[in-house]
Amino acid sequence: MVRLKKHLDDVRTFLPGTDPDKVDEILKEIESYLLERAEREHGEINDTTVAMSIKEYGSPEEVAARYYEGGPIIAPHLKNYLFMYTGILFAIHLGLHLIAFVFGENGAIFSFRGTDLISLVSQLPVTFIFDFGLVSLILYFVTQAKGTAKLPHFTYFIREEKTPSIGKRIGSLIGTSAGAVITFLAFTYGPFYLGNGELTEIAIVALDSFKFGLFLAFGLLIIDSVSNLINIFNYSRFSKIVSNTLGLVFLFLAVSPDYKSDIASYLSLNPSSVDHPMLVAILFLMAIVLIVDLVFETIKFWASRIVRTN
Amino acid sequence: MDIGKLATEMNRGFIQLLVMVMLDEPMYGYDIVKTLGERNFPIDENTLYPLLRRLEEREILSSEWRVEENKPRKYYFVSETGRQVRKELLRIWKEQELLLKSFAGEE
Repeated sequence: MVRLKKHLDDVRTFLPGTDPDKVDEILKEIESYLLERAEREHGEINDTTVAMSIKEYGSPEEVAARYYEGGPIIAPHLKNYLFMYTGILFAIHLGLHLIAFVFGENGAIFSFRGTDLISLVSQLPVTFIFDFGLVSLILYFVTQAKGTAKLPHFTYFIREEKTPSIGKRIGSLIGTSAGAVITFLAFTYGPFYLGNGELTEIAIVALDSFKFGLFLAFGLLIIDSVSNLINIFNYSRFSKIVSNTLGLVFLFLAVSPDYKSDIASYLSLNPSSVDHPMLVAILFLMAIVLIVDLVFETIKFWASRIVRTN
Repeated sequence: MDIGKLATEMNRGFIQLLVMVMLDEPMYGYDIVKTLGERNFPIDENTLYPLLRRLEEREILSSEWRVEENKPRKYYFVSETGRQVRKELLRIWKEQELLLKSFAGEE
């Protein structure tokens, strides 16, 4: 009965569960059936008739698969959580990568050592697969535990939001455009200060840093204005994600050592005077605001597109 | 239109009830397959065995191994819990039958 033993070994390989007693019981029952069938259908029990019974009964994969019924790897009702949690985790992960990218340090929880855009982009698919795998693993354990664990459902992210009225969208465009004009004027003609005396060295550093800050604010407001203009014609959350990403890239390029000096010289500022602590603090704040906004927008975009359709 | 999938879904619950009704007296797997086949209700062994196991895990069926004609056979029979479940399921089934008949104009 070598054939029978091999068949049962093959079925064992595909059987779910790790409880050896349970698996042995199933195999014993299959063996009993195959022997019974060989005798009743083919006249006697021998290698040939058992082989025929095995063939009629089905392949080891098919036989084992029947025992999977009712025991999914991840319960169907948890499928929505799989996509939602993966989206949230990935968005947070993306934010941490961006922090590491913008500030040139390893600020991500999971190591991100690249400092250029290509390294960042090339790591994103791996990040996504990691996040998907991690969430799958957690939901797998929840399913297998058969507990009644109540998982948080972040309805905030999948709540249908009203599209802003055309008036609001025009208002946003006017707001950001006006901000861009003001920063441009302040950069060109300002800042205005009282007094006639010569500026001290500290004041020059502060002034140049302030003007550099105005330039950055101008750039970000222009990006926002373009995004708001597009939103007037075709409102989409995606444009917000793109504008936030472009804003971060702009900030990164403007403050990176490779370009900062050139930009400062182009703006007729002293390159060594555009690193006032206050400017650095404001830049940090701007980057954090952009990243947090980007993370939230990414989660909402993901949740509304993927979670709802699954 | 192919009703195969619909029929399979409908049969799933029915087979459970059918097995519970059949197994007042102990029977082994092959015996059940044969008996149903003779009554023009062929059932795939690969469907029946896992179903028997699941019902046993839910304590609706009990089982015992017997050696007959030098062969081990696993006999299944309805447990006390299974009898109560069967009674309740039969009541539901009869209600459903009446409901269907009332809509089909047979009542």
